Amino acid sequence: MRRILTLALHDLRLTAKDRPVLFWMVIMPVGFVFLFGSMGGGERTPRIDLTVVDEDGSFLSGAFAEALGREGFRITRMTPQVADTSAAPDRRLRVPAGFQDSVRAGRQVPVFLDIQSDANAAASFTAELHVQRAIWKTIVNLIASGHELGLAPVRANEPAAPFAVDEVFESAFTAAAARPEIITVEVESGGRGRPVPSGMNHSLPATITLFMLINTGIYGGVFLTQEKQDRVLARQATYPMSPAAILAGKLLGRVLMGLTQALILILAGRFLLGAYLGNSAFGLFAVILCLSFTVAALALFWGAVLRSVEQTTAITLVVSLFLGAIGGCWWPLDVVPAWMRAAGHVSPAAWAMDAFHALISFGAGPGAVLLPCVILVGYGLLFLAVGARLLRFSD
Amino acid sequence: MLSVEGLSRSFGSLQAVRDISFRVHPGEIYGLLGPNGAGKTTTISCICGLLRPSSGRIELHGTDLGSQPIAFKRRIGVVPQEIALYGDLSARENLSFWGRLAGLRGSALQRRVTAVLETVGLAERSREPCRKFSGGMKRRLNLAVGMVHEPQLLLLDEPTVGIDVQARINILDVVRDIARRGTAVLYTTHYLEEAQELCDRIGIMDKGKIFAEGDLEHLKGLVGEGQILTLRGGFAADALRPVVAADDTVRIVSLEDGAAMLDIPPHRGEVSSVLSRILGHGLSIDDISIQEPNLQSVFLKLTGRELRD
Ligand SMILES: Nc1ncnc2c1ncn2[C@@H]1O[C@H](COP(=O)(O)OP(=O)(O)OP(=O)(O)O)[C@@H](O)[C@H]1O
Ligand SMILES: [Mg+2]
Repeated sequence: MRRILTLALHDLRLTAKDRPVLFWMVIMPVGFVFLFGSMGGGERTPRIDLTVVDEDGSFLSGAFAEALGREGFRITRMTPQVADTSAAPDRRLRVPAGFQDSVRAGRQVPVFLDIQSDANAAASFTAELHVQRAIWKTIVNLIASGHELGLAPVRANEPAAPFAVDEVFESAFTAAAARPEIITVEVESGGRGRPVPSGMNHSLPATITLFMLINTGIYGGVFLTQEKQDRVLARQATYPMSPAAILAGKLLGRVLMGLTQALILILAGRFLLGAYLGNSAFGLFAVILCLSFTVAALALFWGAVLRSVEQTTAITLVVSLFLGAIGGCWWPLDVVPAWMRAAGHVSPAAWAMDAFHALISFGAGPGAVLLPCVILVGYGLLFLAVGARLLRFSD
Repeated sequence: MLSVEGLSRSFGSLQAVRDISFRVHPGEIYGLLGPNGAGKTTTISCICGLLRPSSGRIELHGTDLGSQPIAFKRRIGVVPQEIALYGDLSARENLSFWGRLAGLRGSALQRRVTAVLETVGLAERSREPCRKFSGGMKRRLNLAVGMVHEPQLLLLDEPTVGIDVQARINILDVVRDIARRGTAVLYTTHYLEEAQELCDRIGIMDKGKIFAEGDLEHLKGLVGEGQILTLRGGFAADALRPVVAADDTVRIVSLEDGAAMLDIPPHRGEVSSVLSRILGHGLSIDDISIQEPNLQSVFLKLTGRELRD
């Protein structure tokens, strides 16, 4: 076990020794995230700006605004006076006067979402969905707190019995809002129906995936061909380790390379560029770990089958770029025709991107990454099995 | 003690090693002397577990390589024929890595690394990437890697190929020193002088077989006690043969057109009488040399061919 670790850390050390590594693993990918992140619409996080003009100024309109905040909006509250005098924001939600009273009386009451025509369309589309969700949640909370107040259920053809908005109600409503959601709204729609991941939400996971493929592929592949060429692999085989242990050491080294690449990008993305990473750290880690395994096994495969360093560099680079491209690292697969999207899933990158998008752009929990992770591990096992079969310690 | 019994290894139809047996005792340097393609590397590769023998048994102090490979490998150090090092790492880093793979840790590792760097004379340049080293320095580092963990058996495959005299002397000194400390050393070479100078016992190997083994005296005895007369010139082998055969005290070590090696009994005047007889038959001789028996003549006699450096 210690020897496996020795081999793994040795690979990391060789990587760190390589001068251009700083460029390949840090400068270039972070530049990619930044460049493509700002090209694709500019917003760095899914926190969509929304200006709420509260003309009602009641408890319920305030609670509704808070519900909007919990939906992930970056809320700017404005009084009607300020709203009249300032320039129109990208997205403005007007809660009309009489909002609380109308709800109390069971009357339908509209809220108005004004969208400037030049605002980011995808963000605005998402905004609509989230406003809907905030409405639903507010209603659910009303009903829930109403039940706790012991009110009679509302009958469909009668005006609802007005309820008192007092401190008792307010605390009951707040308690209901703080509870786990009774009903959750799962927005499921086909590829066209959901917003296309854009900006940093796309560029960060895309760059993580692409550069894990490229850097682990090249370094991991080249180190192994180099070790074959320089006879050090044969020399390793004369040490007290089984071939499986040697392979495990090399696999672990490459997994650590992949994790390092991901960590660099996540730290830079989060703290340097302010990227949003979704709500599930566990889900994110699971995807990255599984992807590390896949790219590590792929690197071992290349190292096993290819003979020269030059060949390995060229082939792994081209293949990594190709797998990244068809897997949606350059542009989201949501924008390509269905057949291309399906074909793209031949690439492990596509599964990784599915998982990342689910977490970061669609707010999914860790459950959403299970299938992609299983497939990534499956790919990894396949590459590993073939690589292990073809690797010759000496010739 | 390393014990090799009936070792064979084939590559397809080519029998690279054919049923060889030998032992190397602690503190002994056993030389496998043979030309290119004799099967030296194949033998070493089998002993270090890199190649699976086609048949035969390899044991070190009773630990069987076939059934306990890890335990066996724990006790050996290997210096391969090719320089097998990480060029981007320094001498010290290389030694630390290989030492760690061999099971050394912490201060014991550091101590051993420093000690072997000193031994092979690389202490001053231990922090440079070793790709910048000269051939001789690389060879010395290659050797140091094999011995950093103080193995009980050290396998050296032509460790002095292609280096200058200075580095060669250093390597031979180091090997002697290791053996003196009780390590069993298996040393392959195609240099006669090296085998002659360094090895306690020598196995003469060609075409996958060990033709004879023993110490130098024993091997020389196989050729004869006399002097070796080497002749070169424009003669035909068939013309020389009857002339020599007429004198039944003279033995032919080797004979071909234009070159002959004869074993002459150690009597006074024997050499000159043989020579005058040959010249009397009108055979043209350009070059004459007279030597004590040496490995060269032994090798020639046993394998029927000359071993050239
Ligand atoms: N992997 C292999 N596949 C096929 N034939 C091999 C292989 N390794 C060695 N041989 C053959 O086996 C024979 C013995 O080779 P080996 O390398 O053991 O000789 P050697 O004594 O070490 O020679 P050298 O002095 O050139 O190193 C040679 O004929 C060689 O061509
Ligand atoms: Mg050899």
